Amino acid sequence: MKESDDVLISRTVRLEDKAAFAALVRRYEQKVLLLLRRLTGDRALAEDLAQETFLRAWQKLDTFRGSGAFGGWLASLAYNVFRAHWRKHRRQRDEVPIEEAEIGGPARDGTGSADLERLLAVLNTEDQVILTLTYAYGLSNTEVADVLGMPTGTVKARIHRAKARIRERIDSPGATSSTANSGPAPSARETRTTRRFEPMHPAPPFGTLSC
Amino acid sequence: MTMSQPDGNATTDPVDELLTAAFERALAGPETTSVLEAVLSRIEQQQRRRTLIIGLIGGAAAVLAALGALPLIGIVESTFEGLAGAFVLPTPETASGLPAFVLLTAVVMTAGWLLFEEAF
Repeated sequence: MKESDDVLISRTVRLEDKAAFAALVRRYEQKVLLLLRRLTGDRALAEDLAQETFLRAWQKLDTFRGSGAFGGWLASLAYNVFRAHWRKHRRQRDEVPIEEAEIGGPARDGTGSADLERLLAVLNTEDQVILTLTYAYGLSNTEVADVLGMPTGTVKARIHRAKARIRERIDSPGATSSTANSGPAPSARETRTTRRFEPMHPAPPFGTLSC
Repeated sequence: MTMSQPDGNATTDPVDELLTAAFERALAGPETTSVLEAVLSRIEQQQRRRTLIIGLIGGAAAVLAALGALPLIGIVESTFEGLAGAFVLPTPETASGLPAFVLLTAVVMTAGWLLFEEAF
């Protein structure tokens, strides 16, 4: 019988039960990877950050209050790990030509299903992350807002806008991914570079978080 | 896996259905063992390091306690003369070094604990 998250968390915290924690990792691994792939656009980096996320979860599990979904708590941890990585490598990244930089942007390595990549291709990274938290994690708008440190109304508006863009794409399949950016259609080079970086400069995505 | 819908979105929306199905498929992808293995390995590594540090602190405390019975007591006694003097009651001369050792051990334990906190 599948044990609930609460039981596994309790066993992990009280008994330092690694088997229970392993079950939690197995249960949430794909979700964490999916989120981090959307944030980083890089499979290997996402796996590294996922390891760091679960390691922090092991260390901080006793601080999980159980007031919200465990997935939401884990998503906050993952997002904070990503932000820490982003800050740490900012200078390095600034010195790298945009075309060669890796941080930020949609998953370009074919991870996840092809359908998902096709649907999300018309969105910027922020909107992809918001949809990931909403549909993959099953978080409410308020919970997504808590994870990303933005107003609930903004999350709601972004979901609405993102779905409208996807609908538009479905209705006119010939449209290109440049629709992810508002304003005049950018050149091919601009599309390639700004799509990857749009939410990341000049500040970390979504503002500050406390976790 | 059950997928939740955004707040207040009870009606069926084709885009909702597409997204739900696409995310379900993405999450149903093949499990990777690399993340789990790496995490468990790092946890074990961390626990070994913790055990080692606790052992070092305990060992240092034990050595200090053992040294209390040796002539070093005289050195420590003179080093901590002022402090020890404040603690020593009018007892036999041989016992006068004890408060200094208690103090020194406490200092070592505190430093060890700070080191431990810093490490984790």
